[in-house]
Amino acid sequence: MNVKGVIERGMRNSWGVILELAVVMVPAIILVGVLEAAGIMPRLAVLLEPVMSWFGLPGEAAIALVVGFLVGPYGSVGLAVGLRLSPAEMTILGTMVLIAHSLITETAIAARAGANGLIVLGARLAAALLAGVLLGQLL
Amino acid sequence: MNWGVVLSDSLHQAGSALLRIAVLIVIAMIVIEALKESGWLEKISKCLQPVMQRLYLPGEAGVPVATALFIGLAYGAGVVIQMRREGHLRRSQLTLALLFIGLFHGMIEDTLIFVSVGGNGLILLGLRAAIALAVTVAVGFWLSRREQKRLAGQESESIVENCPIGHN
Repeated sequence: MNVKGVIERGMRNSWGVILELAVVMVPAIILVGVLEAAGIMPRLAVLLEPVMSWFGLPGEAAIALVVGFLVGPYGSVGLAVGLRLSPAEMTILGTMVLIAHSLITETAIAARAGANGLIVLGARLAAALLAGVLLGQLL
Repeated sequence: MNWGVVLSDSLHQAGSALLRIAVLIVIAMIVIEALKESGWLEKISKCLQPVMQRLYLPGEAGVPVATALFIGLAYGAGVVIQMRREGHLRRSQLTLALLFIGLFHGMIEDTLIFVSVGGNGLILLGLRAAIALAVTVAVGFWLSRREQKRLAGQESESIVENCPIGHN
């Protein structure tokens, strides 16, 4: 095995991922900071608390969940860091978002490759909610 | 309200989170390259064949699934497109393969990103795997029942057409 080549290619690929992450995460963290300072976040939290409590997550985490579902895990991680979620909450949010993320793009890719997009989308969302309810009970 | 403080706090937080994540991303990417280079990816694809059969999929589906698990969804979907062109997969199997890939892909770097901000890797990976398997089996069972019903329907229709009494 060409160890040097492996390390070189690994490093090169990492740079792309880290850059992509930074571009999404930094604005997401700033957004949370601004929403908190402006007093919008606490109101949002109270509003969404009843739904999010099924998953053992605080109300504010709803934006990290929805952004994860629709846009992608990077934005979701950024928001979660900004919200200072606990390790248990990171585990719950992460499991749900990794099961169902970037649903717009990824469902389009699946449909393009020949799948029934509606089944893929519905089953992924259902699976994420199931994981959330399970972990909400356990953690 | 001091917006300067809000901004500098946020940037500080973002910086330290990114630093932690970056370290794990580099490790993940080197591991992925090593898996490709050493031929382990092919071995894993072969080992996945019996699992694929449990998921109502042909054994060859191990290749796109292993690709998606370690390299990413788009690459796995690319392999599925290739297999579809070669006529290896029926419509219901395409849906099942892409459902499983959708539920469970990019398992190294995506998991490590949440681990680096405090998540429990064992739960992130284990529960995701368990739910991906269970949901794919459930949908596969449902799709195969639906297919059988449709086939049974076609058979009874053809019996009616061929029945001499019906035509007289």
